[in-house]
Amino acid sequence: MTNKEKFLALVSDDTNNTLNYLNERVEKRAQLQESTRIAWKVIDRLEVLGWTQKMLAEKMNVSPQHVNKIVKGQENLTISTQVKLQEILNIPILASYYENAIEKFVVLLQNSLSQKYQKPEAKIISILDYQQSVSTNTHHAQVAEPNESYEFYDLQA
Amino acid sequence: MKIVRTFAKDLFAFHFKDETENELLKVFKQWNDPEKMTRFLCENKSDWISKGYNNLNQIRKELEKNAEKFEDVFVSFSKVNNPSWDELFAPLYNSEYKTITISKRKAKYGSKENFLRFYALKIDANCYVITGGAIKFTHLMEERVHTQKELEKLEKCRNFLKEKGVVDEDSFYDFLIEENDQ
Repeated sequence: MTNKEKFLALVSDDTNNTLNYLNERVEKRAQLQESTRIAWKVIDRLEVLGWTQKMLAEKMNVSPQHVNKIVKGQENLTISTQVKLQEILNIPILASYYENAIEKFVVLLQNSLSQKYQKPEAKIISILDYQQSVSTNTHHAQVAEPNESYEFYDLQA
Repeated sequence: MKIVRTFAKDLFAFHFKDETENELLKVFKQWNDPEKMTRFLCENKSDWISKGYNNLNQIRKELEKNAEKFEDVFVSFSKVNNPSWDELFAPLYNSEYKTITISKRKAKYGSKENFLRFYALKIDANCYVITGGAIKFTHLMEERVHTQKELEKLEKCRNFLKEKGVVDEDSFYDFLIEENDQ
């Protein structure tokens, strides 16, 4: 047996597995990056909370294998799963996390300012209206509502 | 232990007993595993902090970029007729200046900010067998257990090839020519 024959006898084919894997990584890069970032957040949060993946699975009412896929960045997460992760772990995953936080902050700020300046009961205004009013008025902002107008003062006032 | 042909011409990989994948695929999967990578980075925190990274996400993103570069290289090499592996794989030891049969090699890609390495044995011009890979933060492989292990794998694989009679460069080259003709 020549060296060439020996080598051929040792070699077997694996021509598809690796290439398929790499092609998929390249083609779905943006999606996989998002899955990876979610995995990082989940891993880090579990560490802070001192939870195991199994504990998270129980709270999410899913299998431990499902959670394991999430932390491996392999899962194509449904909105439902993302909402569960966001609510149970209190980590930002969807844009709604920040939107809700801003909205709560605005309401709190309104209430606080209303009390401070003894203005009429604060009403919820849209975030955009509020942001626009603050950004266009340096010292105080007018936020118009139908038939009423309230003054809001910026924090430096 | 066996050797498998990969998707790319002239590139082979070891597939060790009890492993589900060959070393090329296995290493990529490890680098793309957020859980394993986080565990590794937590265990080796002082190594990446000494490289100027301040938090876990910074270094995780850097390593992610590093792995993506390698993915791009291998995918692009899979599309060409004669991929230049010699450009990718450099001698493991910078002091290696003469031709060595079944030389130990390393592949790193990009700037010095690249901490990922593939390790391989050079069988002949532009023909390599991958033995593994690692995240390397230290100057010497001997400085950390996981890189020391890769060194040992290189040696073990080299001995394996010698034992199997593939030390003869010329006869091996014959095989490569035939393989290229197919």
